[in-house]
Amino acid sequence: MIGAVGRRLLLAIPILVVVSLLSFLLIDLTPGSPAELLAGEGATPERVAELEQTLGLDQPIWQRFGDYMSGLLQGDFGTSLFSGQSVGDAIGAALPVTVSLIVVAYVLVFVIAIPLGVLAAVRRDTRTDRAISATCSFFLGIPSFVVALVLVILLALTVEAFPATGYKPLADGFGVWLSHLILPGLALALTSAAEVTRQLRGALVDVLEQDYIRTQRAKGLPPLLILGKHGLKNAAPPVLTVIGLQLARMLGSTVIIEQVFAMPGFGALTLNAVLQHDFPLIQGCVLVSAIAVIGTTVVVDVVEAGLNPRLRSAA
Amino acid sequence: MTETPTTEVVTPAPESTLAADGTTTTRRSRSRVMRRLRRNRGAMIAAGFIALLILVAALGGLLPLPDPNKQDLVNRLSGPSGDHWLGTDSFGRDTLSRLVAATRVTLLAATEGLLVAVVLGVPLGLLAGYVGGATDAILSRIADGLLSLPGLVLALAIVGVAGPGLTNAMVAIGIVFAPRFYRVGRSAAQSVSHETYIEAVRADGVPTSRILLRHILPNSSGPLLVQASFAVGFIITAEASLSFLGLGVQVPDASWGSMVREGFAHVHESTFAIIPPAVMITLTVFAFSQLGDGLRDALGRDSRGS
Repeated sequence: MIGAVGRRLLLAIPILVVVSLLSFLLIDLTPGSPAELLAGEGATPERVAELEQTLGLDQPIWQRFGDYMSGLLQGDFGTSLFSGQSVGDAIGAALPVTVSLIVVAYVLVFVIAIPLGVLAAVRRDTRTDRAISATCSFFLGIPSFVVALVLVILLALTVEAFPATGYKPLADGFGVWLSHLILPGLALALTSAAEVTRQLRGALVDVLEQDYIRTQRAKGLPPLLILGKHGLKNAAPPVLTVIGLQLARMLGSTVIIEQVFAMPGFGALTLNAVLQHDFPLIQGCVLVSAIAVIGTTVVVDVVEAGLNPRLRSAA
Repeated sequence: MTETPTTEVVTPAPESTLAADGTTTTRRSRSRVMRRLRRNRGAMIAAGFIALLILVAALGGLLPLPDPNKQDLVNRLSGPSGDHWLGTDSFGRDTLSRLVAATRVTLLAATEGLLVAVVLGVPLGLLAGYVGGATDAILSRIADGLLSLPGLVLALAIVGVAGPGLTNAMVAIGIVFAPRFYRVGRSAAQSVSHETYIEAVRADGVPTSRILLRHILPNSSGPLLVQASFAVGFIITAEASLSFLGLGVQVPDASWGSMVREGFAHVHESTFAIIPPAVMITLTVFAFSQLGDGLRDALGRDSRGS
């Protein structure tokens, strides 16, 4: 088991190296000089030279890459050009908001997708199944920011059932925290819930057709036990992969969702970094998202290996 | 308790070996695909809707509509009326005219993004799949790295260094989607690179670029078409997202995403202005995903691409 974890971590390392290289190269891909872009129009040559020095652009690329990588290995992501704050601190301050949002969204995905997916698979090819499939197709087609706007207009501005904007930390109380996260969490969750429902239905339909399920039915095992212990457990691996993939989608969507709901999270930080051409902060945000996504892939692989003894020994 | 058997990875038996059998798609099999596609009602409705959109984008300027940039500040944020069928925005501009103008902007932008993705992804994918070795290893690691980033974060980062604007946004989105086309091209090239007919043209001394484009590319047209249809939907969503954030299309031009942005800025005064562009985005993205599903089913499940 530990060997399996180690192997998967090793597989993740080259991808992380490539991503750090890509994010390092971002600044060199800037059309024209990044320092001139930052200094703005009409800046004095001295100001541009000063910025070039701050960015390290006066040094050769290999030296800069060496400094950048050795900084990263020591956990130093650089310093924001605007706030003067370290990139690590800026991201650390924004992450609790986004982590809360994604946790709530994932809980909602499970609450919505597991019952619906199971229901659709058990009532396969009935009207219930078709209704669930059609709803899923519908939500898969809607961009999450449209969902967010509909939710804001209907539930926050019209009915005023939930606060429309803002974020309150967990320290203010669980209820307050949650009430600010329900609408953005739902907006983030619906597309993923539709995807997971669809995958769960497909995987469970395949499993329920297997001979060993028929044998257990014939033995007279209670249907719920068959479904829970044998159906879901065997349907889980492909569904888990899809659930893991949702993190990348959600992280991207938080940029929009946090904008709609005025939340000071990681997405908002990324957007501000982009609007201000804050290169070190942009690089930090890119790297942190990559680490989160790659880390999730590793965790999903390990959990799958735990569920499926056959995968444990395979590389 | 006996050990419960584990599920196999689900690999459906190929219904048709269209993409994998190493022969160029023949006219007969193409007409079979078209016949299957025509029987799919959802896909045909989607195709009809997309055709209509293209018509509006091409000929929208000929419609008897007010100037999309003409302001009428007295009648701002009005609801639907005889003069303004879909109401007006915060500057009193006619929403219907702007929606028509935005259809053109949005579709052109989507085409641009798709072209960047295809032109970057497909040739590199064909090359990597055909020559293999170190080229394949390096290109594939770069594709993996790009795919491990959330699409919107990557697009934002590229726009962040290149600067806002519709063209930059679409190049960024194209780069985000290029790895998917890379994978389609790579697997197509891998599946046929050792076929006899490819070895034959290679023995004839045909240059690699010509082998890739004339003999391998036609084989992957099915999976590429499916991938492209899905990608257009995602690209439209991505464009709308960037324009909603103010990083895509710039004023006074409008795309559906920037219209939603303008509507959202005045959401406390009137919510109506958001609805028409949001509905257009949703319907269009839905249409492309339905068409993609239909194409995939018509081509057989083995042509999924990635």
